Amino acid sequence: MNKVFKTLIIACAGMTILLSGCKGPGNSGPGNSSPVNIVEPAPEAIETIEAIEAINVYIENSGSMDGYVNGVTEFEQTIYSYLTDIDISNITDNLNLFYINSKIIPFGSNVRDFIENLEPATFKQRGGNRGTSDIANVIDSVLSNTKKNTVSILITDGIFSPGKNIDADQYLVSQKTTIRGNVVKYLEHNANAAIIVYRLSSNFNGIYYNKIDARSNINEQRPYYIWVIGDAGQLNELRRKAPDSKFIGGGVKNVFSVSAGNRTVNYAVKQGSGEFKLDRQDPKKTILKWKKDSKGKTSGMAKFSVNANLSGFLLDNDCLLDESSYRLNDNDFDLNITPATGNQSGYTHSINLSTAILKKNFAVSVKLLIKIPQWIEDVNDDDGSEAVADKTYGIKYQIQGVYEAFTYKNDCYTEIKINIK
Amino acid sequence: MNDIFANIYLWFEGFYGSSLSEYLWGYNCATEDYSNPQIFKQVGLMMSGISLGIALVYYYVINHPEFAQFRHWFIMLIITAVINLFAGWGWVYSGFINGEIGDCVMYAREASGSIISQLIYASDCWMFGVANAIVSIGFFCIFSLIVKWKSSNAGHSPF
Repeated sequence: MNKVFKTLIIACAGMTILLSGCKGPGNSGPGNSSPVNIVEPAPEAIETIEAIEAINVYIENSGSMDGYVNGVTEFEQTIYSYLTDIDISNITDNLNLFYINSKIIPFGSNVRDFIENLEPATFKQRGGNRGTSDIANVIDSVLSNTKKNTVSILITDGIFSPGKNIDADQYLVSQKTTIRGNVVKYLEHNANAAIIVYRLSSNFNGIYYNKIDARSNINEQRPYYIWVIGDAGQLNELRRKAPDSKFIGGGVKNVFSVSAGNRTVNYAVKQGSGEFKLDRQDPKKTILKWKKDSKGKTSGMAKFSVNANLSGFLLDNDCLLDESSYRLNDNDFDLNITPATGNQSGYTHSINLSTAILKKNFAVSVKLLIKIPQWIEDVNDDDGSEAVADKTYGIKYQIQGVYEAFTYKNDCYTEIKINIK
Repeated sequence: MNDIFANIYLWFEGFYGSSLSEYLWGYNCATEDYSNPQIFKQVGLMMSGISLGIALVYYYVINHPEFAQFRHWFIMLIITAVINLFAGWGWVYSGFINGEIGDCVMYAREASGSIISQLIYASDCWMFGVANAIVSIGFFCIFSLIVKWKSSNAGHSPF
């Protein structure tokens, strides 16, 4: 009997020691005691973007543009620098330069020659109908020539010139409608299209034409606009190689960007962001057994966060972090957006939701809205009688036309939906 | 069927905590799904094997008339529980110290990335060992009732 006991104790002690250090298959991993996630990272999601075959640059050479090129101006220096950055970035082998008003006039590909020839006399020499600025027509010409894998850059003062004896208000609405129609047609053949509009400023020394073409000589800072049109992925790449921050002179004052909406993005509920379990069948988008926090600053509130990759929309971070850029389907939820950190799945932002009212068998939806930024209204001149500092006559109608085209079928870039069971 | 061990261990989740539970379920922080091997299942199979093995040893290897009382069977039960306590603890603790537990279940972090709190501690590994010991007691009882019948000397034990 004692022998049995002794044998047993020795056998058990041996088994205990053996099994305490035992590991099963698939549990092995590199030794690391520091607080870092060493689980093998998910492969980086690589979006395949086709190469840009050509970038076409159009400078509007109507009479109202002469003041920007009279002598050596910030306008010329900024455009020269921007086009040089594009040229040397090797993003394309074909950089084509044009003048544009009632027609498109080719210039060639030499950026330096192009800039050195930016003078009122040269503008006049290039021809076309310089007397009026039919912005809708100019934009339509550019859109028509923006083929697959082509990016178009349009540089314009953005001022409407309805001319004498024309009802200016009706003209603006008509131009907006025309722009909307032309952009909708463009989108039908370019489902992944995007448009960026930069607002910059330069000294202007020349004749300012108001809405009835009355002239006044001015020598002051005036805004101008650079439109960039093309595939959203290609514009993202262009912006990466010739970033907004590199515009010289006063730099970019404001940006409006819009791309095709109703797209799916990669997102997932953030593990540990609240008191809940993830649904093992759908861990990224469904939570179970959701409870209110019982301690800490958020005691009494039920919360969770969703990590999402919002990088594909050409929107700047201020816009993405602004709660007013989003729409919730339930007013009982509070929303807060923060940058996403410490993830290996390429998430850019965390959408943080909280509520004092627990919901079950419910789907909470957060939509990233397509919006016109407030600055458009701020820099719009509705009167058009004279040059107003930092304002452009009718600019909001151009942007509204573009906005209405992109929101023709839906008004949100993407929707994030989380099921609560 | 795949989750039978997990569902049993979940009865004792209060011992070792929900964060360790996510790791044991096989949550993969990188892919944000349960694609890592499920440790509940691995530990459960090991625990079953130990419990069955010790039951078989008692009834067919030891199988001694002087070691066939209820108290002797109870000693084997305790041995099973102790072995499974250390086995369960050891399995999970090795993952803990080797940094194999994903960051997202190991720490709660601020939006900036700085750590708010640690969610899993070494003591949670011990508590999982305790849970494993308790589960093994149940399995040992069940296996005893199943395998004891052909034992020539201990078949009447525990009852």
